[in-house]
Amino acid sequence: MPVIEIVVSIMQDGVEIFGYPIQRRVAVDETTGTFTTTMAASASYVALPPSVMAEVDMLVIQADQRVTIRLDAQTDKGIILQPEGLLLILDGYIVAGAGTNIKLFNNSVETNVRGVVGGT
Amino acid sequence: MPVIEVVLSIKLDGVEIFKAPIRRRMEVDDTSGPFTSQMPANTTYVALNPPALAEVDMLLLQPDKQTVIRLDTQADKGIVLRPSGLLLLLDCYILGGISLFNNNLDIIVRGIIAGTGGPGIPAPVGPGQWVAYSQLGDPYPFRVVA
Repeated sequence: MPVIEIVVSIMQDGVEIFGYPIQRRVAVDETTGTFTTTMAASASYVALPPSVMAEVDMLVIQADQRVTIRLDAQTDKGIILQPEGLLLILDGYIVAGAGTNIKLFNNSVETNVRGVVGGT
Repeated sequence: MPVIEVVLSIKLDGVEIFKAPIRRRMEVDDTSGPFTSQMPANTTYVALNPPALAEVDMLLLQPDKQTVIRLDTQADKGIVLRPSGLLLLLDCYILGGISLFNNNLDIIVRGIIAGTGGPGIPAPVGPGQWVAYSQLGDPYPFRVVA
């Protein structure tokens, strides 16, 4: 089984924050591997191209344009990421279905997206 | 203004997925500092303690039990995290706050929030010290994790 390992280090004003870095390790049934994809300009929410997993347990998304991300067939609002912003979910449970687990809205601007999706 | 620096290494089967760790440096107006917060059992969504900033630009949350997180006044669904799951957002833009549903279990949430327009969140304090938010109308003081 693929294993995802993350280490997050956070400093405030140059000083490592107490309790960090944190390290987490999870095993998932399968992953997309690291993907890079170009999403055409669209005025509506579009499923993330590697949308192949019925259950998403871990997710990393980074986009070069401002995007809004909806998860788990969410129908209102969304997570707004600024250009080069990043979303990381580890040990999540997103189960709305392969086509609706992860959707992106790119404000009608062609967007390069990279990341990894892991799940079942 | 506080400067928050985040270094994030993500490895898949031992290989860094983006070739090198992601480094991000943000100058923010306010930060909660690292917090460890107890949220009593509740059957509805409750605003995160400490209170979210008016604009959240960076967020890390780690609840110790299964929790659903709603961002930005989201009214349906939510991000389900398993026990000790982790949500990290860098360079996000959340204006409508953060609320959590703890499945009617007492939970402990660790994390840090940074952004703009805080209600006067005090500067981070040392390990073991208590931070009282009663002046903000928040009933639950919390203790910085030792």
